[in-house]
Amino acid sequence: MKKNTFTKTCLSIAILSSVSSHSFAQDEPYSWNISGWINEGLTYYDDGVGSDVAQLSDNGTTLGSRITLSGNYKLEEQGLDVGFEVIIEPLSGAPNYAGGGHQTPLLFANQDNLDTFNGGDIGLLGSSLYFGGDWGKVTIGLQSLPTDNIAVLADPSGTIWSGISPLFRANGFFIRGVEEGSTNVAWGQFAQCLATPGLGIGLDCNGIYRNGVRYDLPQMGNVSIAVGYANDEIFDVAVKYAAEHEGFKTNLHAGYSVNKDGGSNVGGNSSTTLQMQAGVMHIESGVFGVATYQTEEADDAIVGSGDDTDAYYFKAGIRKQFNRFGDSAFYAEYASYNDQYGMAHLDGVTGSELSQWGIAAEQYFGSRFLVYAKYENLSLDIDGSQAAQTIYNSAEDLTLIQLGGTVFF
Amino acid sequence: MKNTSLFSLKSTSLILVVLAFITSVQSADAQVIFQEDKNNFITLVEKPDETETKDRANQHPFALHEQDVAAILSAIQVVKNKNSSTPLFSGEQIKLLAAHLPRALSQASGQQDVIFALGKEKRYLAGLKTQTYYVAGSIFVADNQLNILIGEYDKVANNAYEMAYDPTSQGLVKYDFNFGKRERAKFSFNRPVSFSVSGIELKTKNRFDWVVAPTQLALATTKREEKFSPPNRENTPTTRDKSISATLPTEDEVIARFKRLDALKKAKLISEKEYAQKRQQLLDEL
Repeated sequence: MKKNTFTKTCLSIAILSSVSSHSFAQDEPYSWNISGWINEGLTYYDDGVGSDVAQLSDNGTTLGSRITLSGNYKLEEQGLDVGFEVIIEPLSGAPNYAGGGHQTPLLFANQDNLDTFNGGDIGLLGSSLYFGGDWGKVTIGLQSLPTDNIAVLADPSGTIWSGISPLFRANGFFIRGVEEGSTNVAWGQFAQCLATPGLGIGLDCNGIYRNGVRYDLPQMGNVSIAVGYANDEIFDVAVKYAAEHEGFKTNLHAGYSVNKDGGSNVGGNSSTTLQMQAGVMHIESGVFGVATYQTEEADDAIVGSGDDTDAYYFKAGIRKQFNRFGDSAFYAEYASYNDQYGMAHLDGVTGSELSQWGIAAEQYFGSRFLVYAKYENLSLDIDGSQAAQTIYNSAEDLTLIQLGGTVFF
Repeated sequence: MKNTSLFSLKSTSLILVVLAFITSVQSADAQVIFQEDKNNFITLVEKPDETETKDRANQHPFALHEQDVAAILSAIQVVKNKNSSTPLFSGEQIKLLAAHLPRALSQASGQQDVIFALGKEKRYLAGLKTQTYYVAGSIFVADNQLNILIGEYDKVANNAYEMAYDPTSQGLVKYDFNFGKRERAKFSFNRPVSFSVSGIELKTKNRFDWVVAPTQLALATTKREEKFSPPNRENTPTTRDKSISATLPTEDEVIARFKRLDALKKAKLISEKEYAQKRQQLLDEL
């Protein structure tokens, strides 16, 4: 019996070996792929009351660890490309926020400065199929819609795994320092998107995977345009420009989305989001800069809650090869999330500014692995009733020191 | 809160205006010879402003045969270890360069180099994992030699990075390739290379990123082959002997011709039938 099993195993290995060493690349119309990245980090935090080490393995759905299975088939006679994509994410725990629609699994999942257990799980982030040709490309299913990441990925430096415009890191940490206690309000409460319930990331407010359809027009020179329609009654359009001129790499992104199905975080019937990001990098020197702007408006918002918000993000630094391992990058960033206080109006808040600044260093090892170290500071300033000011203006800043790494496969 | 916002808005507007101005400036764009996508191309660009070659123009425009390009490129091997080496260029990459490089060199000015970046796909895990690798560099003719500067070899395409930046796989991601430098680049390609055809060598000893091939030799070889083939059996012994003695190839050249023929076959630039015919022809000439 054992001999038979051994023989079968050897045979299987031999067959798999021969198949895996065969090159399919040049003679087959189909292709499959498994790819993704694992992003893990360790964070030391100091919130004014206590300090400890927490795991921060995720960086939102944009850059949290993921495994993607994808496939493509060329129907040459019909002039079509068809394919699929399934994305799974390793979760670090149950999301600690409530909200309707598709919950983004990784958000806030393992961000906690309380003594709670962070478990683990696996969730589906996206599942879609597409077909396309010279006329463009249509994608159907749970997917990234056109304005998702539109104000994130115009960063020409690629230093996005350690620092991006949305407030992903520590938005689930509770604000503390009020009479040495917790406010029971997380930092993400002051980075609330109007368009998406519970999404406390400040920027990239249409930035979750949604069930819908997306149409990408054929690329026109350096410009690409996409439109989307998703559940529930969300329309968006995005324009991207990417080019190299006079030794500069330049990216300009703009996106506009309308959420008409009462998705507003403050109870309105509809909301609109406008996002823009511009990035420029001098190719020879590696010096780069990024500027980001977002504004949201909600109709019929609950009285007292903010119905228009804006947010900014700036980043500047250098990415260049200084050693044999690969590129090194150093940058500073600053973000300001304004009047995104959402339901904190119940505490008497009438205006808010959550500021974030940080400095970071990255070291790449080829294109497969990078490590980073980062220092970040979050601070809060509010307008409102005396009671609200007593609570929030006495809150301590949150300081984070992170060491992390990302492996691509 | 609003005061800060107003200030930030002004700052953002200013930055956007500056960026818009930068992008509106018309650049001296590279002259595209071949382009499949953002990371597979052969183009003409201005020669880099390097001290060593600042005042020395390339010998462009220059006429080179497709077969010569294929033979030279096929002969460059990257040494993996003592017992094995692997071609620097894949068959498909050689085909593309052989087809487009002669045109590029014939159109180039003395102040232009040809730069290229070309990918090849490999599959692993029973075909479930596809990986793209790029080779990139510069090519120019100077000092009667075809110069090949290797900037990148087997640069791995980062599928995950492409997924993040280009979620609908529209080919929006453009990699920053190193195209090699005449002045030794700080972190240049440094893997040992070998050559299966004589006459091709390193520009400088131990500098593996700069390969030179004598274009005159390649062209002369072609001309000699034309003279020799087919052997004229009708000639009188005296005339034939004179002809042969005047152009008799050396032993190295004979070996080089066989290797070159093998290279052309490997690159699929000639058919099995053509290969057999030419091989027999070379044997007849011995």
